[in-house]
Amino acid sequence: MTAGRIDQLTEAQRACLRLVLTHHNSKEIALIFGVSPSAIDKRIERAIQILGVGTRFEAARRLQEHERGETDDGILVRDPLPSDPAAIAAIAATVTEPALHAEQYATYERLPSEPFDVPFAASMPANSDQIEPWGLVRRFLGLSGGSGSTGVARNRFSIGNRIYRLLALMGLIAVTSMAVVNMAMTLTTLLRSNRDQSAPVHGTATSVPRGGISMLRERRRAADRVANDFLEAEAAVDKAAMLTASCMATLMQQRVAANLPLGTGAAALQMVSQASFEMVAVRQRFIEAHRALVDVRTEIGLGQFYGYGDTAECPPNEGAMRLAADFDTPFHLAAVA
Amino acid sequence: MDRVWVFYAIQLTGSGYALLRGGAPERLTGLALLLAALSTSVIQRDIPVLFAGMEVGVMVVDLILLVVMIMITLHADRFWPAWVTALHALGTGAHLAKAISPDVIRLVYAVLSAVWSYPIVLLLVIGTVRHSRRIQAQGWDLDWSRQDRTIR
Repeated sequence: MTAGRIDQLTEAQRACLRLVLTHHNSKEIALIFGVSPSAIDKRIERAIQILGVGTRFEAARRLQEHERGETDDGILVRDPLPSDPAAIAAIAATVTEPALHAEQYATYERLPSEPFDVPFAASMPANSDQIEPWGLVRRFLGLSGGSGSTGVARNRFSIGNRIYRLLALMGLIAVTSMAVVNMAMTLTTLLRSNRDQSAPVHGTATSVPRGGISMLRERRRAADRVANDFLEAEAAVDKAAMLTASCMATLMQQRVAANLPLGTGAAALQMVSQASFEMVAVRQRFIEAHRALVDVRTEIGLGQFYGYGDTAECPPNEGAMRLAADFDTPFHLAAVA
Repeated sequence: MDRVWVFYAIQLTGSGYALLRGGAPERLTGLALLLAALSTSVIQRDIPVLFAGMEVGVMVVDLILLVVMIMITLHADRFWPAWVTALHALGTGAHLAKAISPDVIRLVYAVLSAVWSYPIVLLLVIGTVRHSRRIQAQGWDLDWSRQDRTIR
């Protein structure tokens, strides 16, 4: 009953099953036929369906039994078994194109069976790599003669040519990337010089002080602490000056609002006005001290860390920002230096 | 520091993909890049002084990797290793620049020697994708050019 089904197999499916029986996997079969492994899988799937069996090996065994039976019937038109891969490929070609080689196809159809105990030459050379200790390395490096070692090379350049091309590529990449960096730098400089043309230049020193990284770190920490406290004091003084000035204004306004005589509180107003004047003077001192402190930074070799090389701006300082958030009254302290 | 971990993740993913799906040149490059990244992280000095002077350990790793990449470029049946080698050679050139003029700022030195790693991983992934496409389409793909007997 399976015999009838076996007759339904195409010759391509039979050829695949014969290779399955000699322990070729789909990839190797695909290599022999010159088609994709998935096509081989489909072909074998189909054969399994026709025969109604579970696995591909079972299907292959069924085919083998069937063909043995035919041999016993005595139709012995036997060709010698092709032993080299080229001959196998040739047969495979006739199998895949049956319409073109009708006669060969007919003779091949009559081929009773192949002796399964004789291994195919194509499957042999991988074994030595599997046995010897360096086999794994050789296979990793693709030096063993397994699958994929035959075919047409894509990169056909000689070694000298490759070196030449490598150098050319390096030049190309270097020039292009440097051109991009240069463009970015040029644009940045242009924009910056437009923005603060008149600003004085501070912190242009580039030399790192001798004495190692730890000293540098100590100095940076000291500078950061000083800056933190200084900015706090500066902001407080600014706030005090502001409050004093507004206090003076309030004094005058409230006298009018309360409909009091002009002379009321004149002495107090005089004193508050004096205090306000002095507050502004203190504020001015802080502005000068700010400049001086920036110069101190440069003196102790920290200029490059704060001045950003070529700009005159103070780097954004966390202390100042925190203070700005604390006072809800709008205050702006000119960040000189 | 986050950027470093992001790079390790990228490198690990790229190399893993190359080791799984690539041919011999992809596998070798993937492994070499991974080893170089790991050994660099072991060899390099502490962060505060990193790239402040010459990084001899990193330079040695870079040079070894450069030699491996050049050998792959000269023998592989691929075109992408040439790009990888060129990029990496420029990264190695940063050490040369620092050696010639110690004035080179730390940041510039670090960026110049590290920035090329990202396109290198990208090229490796592209090479592996193309290799696996060829395997799917025609069932084979040469690893080294000399496997083709008609040339040499």
